[in-house]
Amino acid sequence: MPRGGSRSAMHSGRCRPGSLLVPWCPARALQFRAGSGGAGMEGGFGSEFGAAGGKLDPGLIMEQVKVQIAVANAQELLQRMTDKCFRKCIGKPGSSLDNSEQKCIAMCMDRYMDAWNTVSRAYNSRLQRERANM
Amino acid sequence: MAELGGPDGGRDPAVSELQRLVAAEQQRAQFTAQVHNFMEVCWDKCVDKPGSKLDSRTEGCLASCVDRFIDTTLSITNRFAQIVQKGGH
Repeated sequence: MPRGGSRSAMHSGRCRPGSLLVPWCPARALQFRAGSGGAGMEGGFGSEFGAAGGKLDPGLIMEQVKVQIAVANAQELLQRMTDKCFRKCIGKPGSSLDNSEQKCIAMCMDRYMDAWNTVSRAYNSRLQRERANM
Repeated sequence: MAELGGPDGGRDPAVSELQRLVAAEQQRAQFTAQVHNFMEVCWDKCVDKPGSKLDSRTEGCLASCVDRFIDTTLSITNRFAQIVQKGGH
């Protein structure tokens, strides 16, 4: 599966409360992406990135940086989720996805995001514990 | 990423502010990448068949998985350092 993921997969519509750090709202993030005209961070700091009259606008640049990071994270999440849920839910691939497979995929997606949040919290706690012990 | 602002960049407060903010975002991105890695391993170990919610046993397993994975990493790093020090390959 190509690494970009598919836009159609992202029109689930809802914005879920996300991880501790990255808002999980791929549909909205993609709208921003379509407007920014950049695919990645090679774009250099020209006038479209918040530099007016030679002065940098850190706020505007950072806003776009954060959006691009969020988009990349969403793509990563979707690719891994697809892999895991395909393995869990689809046995012998038939000529189409039957009802039970579709239900399983929907539940798997929700559980994957729940698990993501649990892991994220556990990792954060561990980091704080390690910092406290230093 | 090329040096922000060029050789004179250090004198522009906007550039140093940008460097600070970018460094913070990089740290956040590293955290997120690490969570993805943990998920790679811990989902398979802890989640059997996806149900209507994560039960407490699965939640506990996921949290433990993160801690044990980190412990394993530390254990391997330390032992490997010893092996290398003793002149092994």
